Amino acid sequence: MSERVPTVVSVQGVYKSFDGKPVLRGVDLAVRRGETMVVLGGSGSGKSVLLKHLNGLLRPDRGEVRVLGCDVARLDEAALVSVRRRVSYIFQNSALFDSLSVGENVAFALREHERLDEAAIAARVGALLESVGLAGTERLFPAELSGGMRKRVALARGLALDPEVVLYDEPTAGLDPLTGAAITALIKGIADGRGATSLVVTHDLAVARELDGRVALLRDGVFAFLGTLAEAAEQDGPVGEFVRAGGVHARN
Amino acid sequence: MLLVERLYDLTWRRVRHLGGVVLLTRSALARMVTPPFAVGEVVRQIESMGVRSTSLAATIALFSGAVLALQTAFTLERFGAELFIAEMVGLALVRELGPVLTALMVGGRVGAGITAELGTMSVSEQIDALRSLGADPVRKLVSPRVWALVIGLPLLTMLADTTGVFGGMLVAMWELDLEPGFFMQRLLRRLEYGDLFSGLAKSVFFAVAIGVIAAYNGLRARGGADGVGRATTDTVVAIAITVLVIDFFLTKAFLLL
Repeated sequence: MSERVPTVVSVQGVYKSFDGKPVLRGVDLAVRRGETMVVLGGSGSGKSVLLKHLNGLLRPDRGEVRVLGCDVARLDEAALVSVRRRVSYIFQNSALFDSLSVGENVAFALREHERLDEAAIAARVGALLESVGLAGTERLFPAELSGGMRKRVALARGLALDPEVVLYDEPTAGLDPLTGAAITALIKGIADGRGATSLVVTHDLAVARELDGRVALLRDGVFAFLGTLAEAAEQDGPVGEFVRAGGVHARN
Repeated sequence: MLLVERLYDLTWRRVRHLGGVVLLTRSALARMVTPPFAVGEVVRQIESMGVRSTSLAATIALFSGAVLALQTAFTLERFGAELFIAEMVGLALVRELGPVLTALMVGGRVGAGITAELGTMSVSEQIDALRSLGADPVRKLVSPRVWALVIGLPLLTMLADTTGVFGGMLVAMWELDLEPGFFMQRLLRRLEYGDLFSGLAKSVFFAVAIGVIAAYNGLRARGGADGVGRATTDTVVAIAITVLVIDFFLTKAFLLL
């Protein structure tokens, strides 16, 4: 990707600890506009913690987080709203609102931020649900959906405001391989079709292989590797072992 | 040293907890009086919290009024002053027992419900989802519930006052052979607007305390079902203690007015 493409997500020297236990120990990361980056790492390596810093759900103990030119770590909740309208976060467990129907979940951000009449909202919701393969499910409630369907609704909800950056937290966790592959294909479609910058946190190497972007491997609170998946497989030590254990092999 | 450290830790946690409740009270009250107002949500919450608590509030007040009348009659008979039963039962109910018992019972029921609901949303990341969609959880979830309590609790208190007095009147009829008309006449002659006001004003303060404490514990719940359970228990205990402590200071303040 050209050096002239602007960086939209920049993380510099981010430290974060919980109850005195360090999780991130000086993380640096830069993602360019339109890029799809996959953040790999084992369970508990701090991948989701890092992602939550990017839309202000968590604040670093020290370090800088800039997203779309905004100093996210230093904005208060009211000021973060303008960033969150442009940066969508897809939660690991979908985090759909249980008390709202599928249609109301997808319409939530539209009702919150845009002055549309009900007919326009219904049309927009219908189109979003159709784009994730769930046309006609507006009246269902989250409790009636399977894990894969919930994930699709979460995607539709996250895309309602046409975000410039989409953050995915373990998008295939808890899904069977076929459903996982379908969700990965949707993520690829969103990145290619809408041109959104995507940051995908996962431990699932099949996702990284399919998305075919740069990968960053988080280990012991810092990025131990940044490059392509094939390059990672050629590494000695824990980075290479992690990637090869997931079935990715070095080219030679 | 370990004991000192633990005491320090416990005190610090309590102070932080109290600070958090005070800050949430400030933000919830600020959002209650600034637009946009979630009128539909407030109405829905009044229905779910208030209307469904009417039978609880009425039943408790009916029997509390009746028991109060029995005990008062027993005491007054010793001094030959049974005729004062209406004033004593009525004033005690309207000024004190109506608001406090309603707050304790309804507060326990409604407060536990709020904590369980918001706690479940918190542990399933729905609160984070709200924030990440650019919505304000205090405006969306806390303020409508506090509004519903501020409207609903005084109404339930009035219901409790009425049924409590009715229970007292039934006992006065059966135990002391007093006529209902005579009972009500004596009560209304002594009862002033100030008595009614002090009871209802108390219930407004109780409502804010119940709503904010319950919401605070819910929003801070962590660790799955176990965490939600602990938060709910904490809420019931905290509401009971807070209602009684606030009641003492408000009673003192209203008596000085």
